[in-house]
Amino acid sequence: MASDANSVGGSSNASYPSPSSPTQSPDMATSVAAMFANFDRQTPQTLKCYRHTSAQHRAESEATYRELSRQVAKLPESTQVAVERTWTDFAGAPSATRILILAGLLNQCCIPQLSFLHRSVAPLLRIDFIAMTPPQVALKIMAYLDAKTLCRAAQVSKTWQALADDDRLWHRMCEQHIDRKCTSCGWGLPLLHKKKRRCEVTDQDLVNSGRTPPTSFSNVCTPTVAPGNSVASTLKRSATSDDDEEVSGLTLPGVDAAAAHKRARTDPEDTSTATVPGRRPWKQIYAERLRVERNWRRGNYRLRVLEGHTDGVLCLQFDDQYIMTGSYDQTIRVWNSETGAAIRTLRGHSQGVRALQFDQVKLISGSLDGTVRIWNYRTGHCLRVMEVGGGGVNCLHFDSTLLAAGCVDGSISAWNFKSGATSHLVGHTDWVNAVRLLDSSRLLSCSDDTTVRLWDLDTRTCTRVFNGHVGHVQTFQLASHPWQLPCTLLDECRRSNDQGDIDGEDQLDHGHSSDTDSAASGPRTPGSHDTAAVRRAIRHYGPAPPPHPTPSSSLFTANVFVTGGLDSTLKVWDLDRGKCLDTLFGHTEGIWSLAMDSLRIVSASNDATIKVWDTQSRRCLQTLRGHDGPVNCVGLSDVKVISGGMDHRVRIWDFGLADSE
Amino acid sequence: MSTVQILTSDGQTVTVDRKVVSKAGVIDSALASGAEGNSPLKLDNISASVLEKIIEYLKHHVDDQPDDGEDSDDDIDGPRRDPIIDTWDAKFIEVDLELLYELILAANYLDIKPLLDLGCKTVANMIKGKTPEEIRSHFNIPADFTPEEEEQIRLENEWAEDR
Repeated sequence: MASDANSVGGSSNASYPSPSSPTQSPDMATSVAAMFANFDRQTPQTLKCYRHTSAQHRAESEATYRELSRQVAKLPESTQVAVERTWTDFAGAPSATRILILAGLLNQCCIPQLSFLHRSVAPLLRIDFIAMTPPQVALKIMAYLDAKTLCRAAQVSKTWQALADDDRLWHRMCEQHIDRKCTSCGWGLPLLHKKKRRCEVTDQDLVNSGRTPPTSFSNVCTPTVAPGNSVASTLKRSATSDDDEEVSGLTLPGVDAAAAHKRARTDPEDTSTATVPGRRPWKQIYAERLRVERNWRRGNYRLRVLEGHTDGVLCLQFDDQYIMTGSYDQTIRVWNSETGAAIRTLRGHSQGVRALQFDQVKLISGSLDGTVRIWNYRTGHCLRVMEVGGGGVNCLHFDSTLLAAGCVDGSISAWNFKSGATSHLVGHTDWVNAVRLLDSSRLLSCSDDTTVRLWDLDTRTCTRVFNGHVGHVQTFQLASHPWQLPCTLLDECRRSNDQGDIDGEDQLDHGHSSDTDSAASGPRTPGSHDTAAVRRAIRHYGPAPPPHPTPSSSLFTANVFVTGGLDSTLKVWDLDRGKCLDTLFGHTEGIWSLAMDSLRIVSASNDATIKVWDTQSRRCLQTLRGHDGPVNCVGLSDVKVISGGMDHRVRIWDFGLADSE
Repeated sequence: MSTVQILTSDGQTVTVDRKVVSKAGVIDSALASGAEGNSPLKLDNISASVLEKIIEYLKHHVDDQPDDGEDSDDDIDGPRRDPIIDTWDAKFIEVDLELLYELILAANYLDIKPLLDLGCKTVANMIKGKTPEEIRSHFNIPADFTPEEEEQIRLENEWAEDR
């Protein structure tokens, strides 16, 4: 090529030496230079010309010009001069004149030439919007892209990559999806709360959110002191040494997070796109969670079966360290959550263990033998035995100050650890299957008598009855934060209320007009089978507005709980309005247990299956089969479902697989 | 009806309804500060053809309520906005890439947020659903990664592909 150019240059016009580029035709060198010199002299408007301000296009343009000149050089000399002059004249003309010249040329064109123009112009008009707009505009364009497109955009070029990987974009992507359903794409990603704390990455990832004021999302991700921590600290002395580590490990991140927040707040103007050293990029956090969520959606799990119980497994709870299970075989077994290894067996109850709950230092169990036992599960010692009677303890729940137990005879007892006061709640007419303290003065319970009841612990009265199930109500779970539901659901239940008037609202005449207000103040008490969910509950309840502004007036916000009954249905209830909002059908036999977080509900049934439901659409996403017989109890974390069955087995369905390297 | 005269970058003077043109933040502040006097407002960066298009947009949206102010200047931190485009706007923004580019720059310069949003959404919609290769070809972007870098970046982003 070079020699070709040289010979052409030499033969055509040897009188224009070009010392700077000896391999290039002197004609070309001067013409190209003249052309760009002209551009540089143009008015500001022309200077802004996209094609000639971009270095890339300038290079391309020069290359094209070189190629064209090569072709011109093959023409007779007089023609060469004419063509060169036409180009030079055009290059030197102001914008308006250029248009005139072009219009004249167009007018002379035959169809093949017009066709040539048509083909040539379109590619030249392409513009790299990302590289050619100011960074804030380019970022704004990127902000309209979804995660998948952003990842593709990152592969386009270095400029695109820098913008598509911008930490602020991915932070917002995380805000929209983690622990909530994105309103535009319907996807929600797990928090991976527990897991994160164990790896070197801390929850501060989720708190160090740079420039945004703390949102409910950040709050959720701030590690909080465990529920029941005051009890934990009082019991600490009696516990083994690793308790200290446990408790401090739990508290310190919160302090750090607060400090991190302070740092973040003091530097609100930091607009750098660079990732803070030592902190993982939000994109990576998003990717990790998306992989887990895909596993959930596709039913990709690794199964582990724990064997050891010699009779049906009745109740369970787990966290990232322990799984604890209670059985008809009268024992409680403690397992390593990670490895599935049996750690110890707690013996003492003389009949089936129907209920258990543990926190950082203690385990409380309830049995059909009529007792509640408090254990140090790290040593295996039973610290205290409480005689409850009631024909047997069927369920229990405790928080930092209160312990409540529901009994076979329909009674519920509550003890205040601090004051020593006890209260008895009478109203259920059959087995009480689940109890839960909502706050210091409210308790929710469900029973074989087909009702769910809300109680005032101060007055010891039932303030609301939730009617709707046609079978024993075996279980319920409170939503960790208010749900947004279509108003049509509310209309439907209003209609059914007008007809039937069986709803609990009419039974609200116990002087508790403030009930709706107090509902908003929410439970500071957690408990249940999923401590992570509990922490979310603490954060999410309360008078704070819902996490998203309502995008459309067709949605309403409600504090909800979900019940499962032997009528094979799950029902979604509005705690404050006292109405059943939705019913989920799918199981072919009764439901014994359920668990839920902000993304899904899992239900365990007598039909030997576990169903995973989407909280937003309330459709069944997966059916987990494997138990040989009824599934009695189920627990849920961001990555796992753990279930216990009448087949004596505990099954761990681990969806976090792809995440573990 | 009060009018404003605007001198465009290509030396044309355009007379526009003041109410319409004050929808553009920059022009509004210029008018508010009394800068116009009797001489036309000079916009060095906007050509007459782009200005004409912008006025068409502003006229159509002249009675729109301004944003409730809840989104800050910095959109990136707000919730991701609805990428849906209204029918008239969609028709309006159906222009060649060059004019789209000019409109985005002008909307940015003149501080016409809804138009800037519209332009950015339109470009975003062009990007969506394309492979990196298709994006390059659509926007005429040279691949500046080495083959090794390209492979590395592909692996880094593979998780997003729903396979």
